[in-house]
Amino acid sequence: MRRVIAALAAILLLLPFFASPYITALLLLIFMYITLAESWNILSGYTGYVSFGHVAFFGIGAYTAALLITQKAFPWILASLLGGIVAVLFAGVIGFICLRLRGPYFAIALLGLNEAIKVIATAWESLTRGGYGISLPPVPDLRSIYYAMLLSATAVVLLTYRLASSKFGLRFLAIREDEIGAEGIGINTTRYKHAAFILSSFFPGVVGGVYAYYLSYIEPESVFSVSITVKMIVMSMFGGAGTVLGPVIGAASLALVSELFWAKFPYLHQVMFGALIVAVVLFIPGGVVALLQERNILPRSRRV
Amino acid sequence: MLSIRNLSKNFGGVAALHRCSFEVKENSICGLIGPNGSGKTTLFNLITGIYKCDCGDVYLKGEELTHLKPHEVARRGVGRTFQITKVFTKMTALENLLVAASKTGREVEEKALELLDFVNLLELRDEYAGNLSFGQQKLLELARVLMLEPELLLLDEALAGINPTMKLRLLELIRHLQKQGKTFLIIEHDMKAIMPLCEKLVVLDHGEKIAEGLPEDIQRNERVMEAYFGAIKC
Ligand SMILES: Nc1ncnc2c1ncn2[C@@H]1O[C@H](COP(=O)(O)OP(=O)(O)O)[C@@H](O)[C@H]1O
Ligand SMILES: [Mg+2]
Repeated sequence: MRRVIAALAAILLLLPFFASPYITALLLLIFMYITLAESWNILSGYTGYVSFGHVAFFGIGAYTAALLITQKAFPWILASLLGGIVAVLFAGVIGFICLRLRGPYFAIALLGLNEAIKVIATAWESLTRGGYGISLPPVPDLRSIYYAMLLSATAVVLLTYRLASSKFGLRFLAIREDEIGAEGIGINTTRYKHAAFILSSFFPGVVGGVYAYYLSYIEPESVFSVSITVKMIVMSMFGGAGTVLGPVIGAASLALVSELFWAKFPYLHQVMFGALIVAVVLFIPGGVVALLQERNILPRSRRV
Repeated sequence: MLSIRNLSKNFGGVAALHRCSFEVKENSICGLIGPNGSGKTTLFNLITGIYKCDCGDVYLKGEELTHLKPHEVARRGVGRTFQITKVFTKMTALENLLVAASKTGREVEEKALELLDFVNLLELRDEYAGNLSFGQQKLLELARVLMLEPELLLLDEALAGINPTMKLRLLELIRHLQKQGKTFLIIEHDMKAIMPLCEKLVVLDHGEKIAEGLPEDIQRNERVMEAYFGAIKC
């Protein structure tokens, strides 16, 4: 196992030096989606609080970084990290309010919240230039973006791995299974949900910043797009929500498939994601990971 | 140990519990009986902070529990099981216990295994709780709550829906835990099963306490018979 991981790490680290720019760009998008899906998973997969507004953290990170780069001449790496920190601060405040809601109410509240932020980003023209968007300086080197995305994805997967094999992760799962039961054994569910919410907001903010720099242009519709939330959810559930590897498998396979086949048909693309989420819920509720565990291809461990 | 004072709870005009007061002595086993819908589970939900009471107080060893949150009540030493078990079905039996511990490490795991052994579930430790029988889930829930080392245990219909062998086993466990110094308040439908276990019975009917006393006196109490068996007949 260790050898496989070491070999994979070596390949991914060296790849930008011999792969074409197209492959490098494809992979960095995959890393971004792994980061997003795994982050969503920390909150929604583990605690069961399904967020329909997680793209808000991505958009907040993107705007924070874009403004810091264009107006304060911050280096892009620092600007992206600050994008993550602003997303965390935002989650800290919003969590107080939204996490009192349960089930569908929570999901809807976050959906509404993201729309509200999108409206603010559009209307606050003096700061954000509204619908015109913000143009950033061009990217000199694709490789640095690639490494930033790779690092983010690795960090969030390692974080999830640590969580999953700790008491913390088990307590998140307890909240998902039965919140009243969890409180009955002395778990302060409010505190744990808040922690999950905050942990799940940092990396989307960071990759939002990196993405803004990579694209050299952002506007509210693109970085607060509900379709990005939908992708996080579908990728995570397809691979297996509430597992470490699930969102990685889901994001890698779906980002690849969608890039190779569906991207040529933008509408079909949306339909396929919609159809897939229905199929997953109906036929493989535990996702690919659960399927592999049932067949004994993967071990039944919280570390998977 | 536990003192219930004047506790009341209304649900949209329906008095689920009305001015209920009684005491549970330290290291005793107290039975809480009454026909369906008489307010027994509501009383547990008030003690454990799941519901806010309209008026009245709950004290544990002289300390007020009344306005605490459920997890705080649990941390103060009140363990509770549910009428419909709330085990975590997608966790293994062992994980169900580990998640309740405030620490991690070797000692915690040993304690969990000991408790699983205590309720005869050691061999099923790696089985998902959802795959256990209803009776086994009740035992698992009891073991889980014992992880918190509660002084007072509230068991909601502990004996309902489990087979006779399991019932005997559970009664044995309760007696054993009492010898270790624990106090019990047990909701039970089956008066006969619970009588030999309890030093005291409290009887609820339509949210009111209609009797309290020694099991043999309760058995002869006319009002109780009327409420209890009258209700079962019709
Ligand atoms: N959450 C609730 N909302 C409305 N009514 C409730 C609620 N919980 C209990 N009740 C009502 O309170 C009464 C007592 O219920 P309960 O305490 O569950 O009885 P028991 O456990 O003795 O069978 C019943 O009439 C029940 O319908
Ligand atoms: Mg009841």
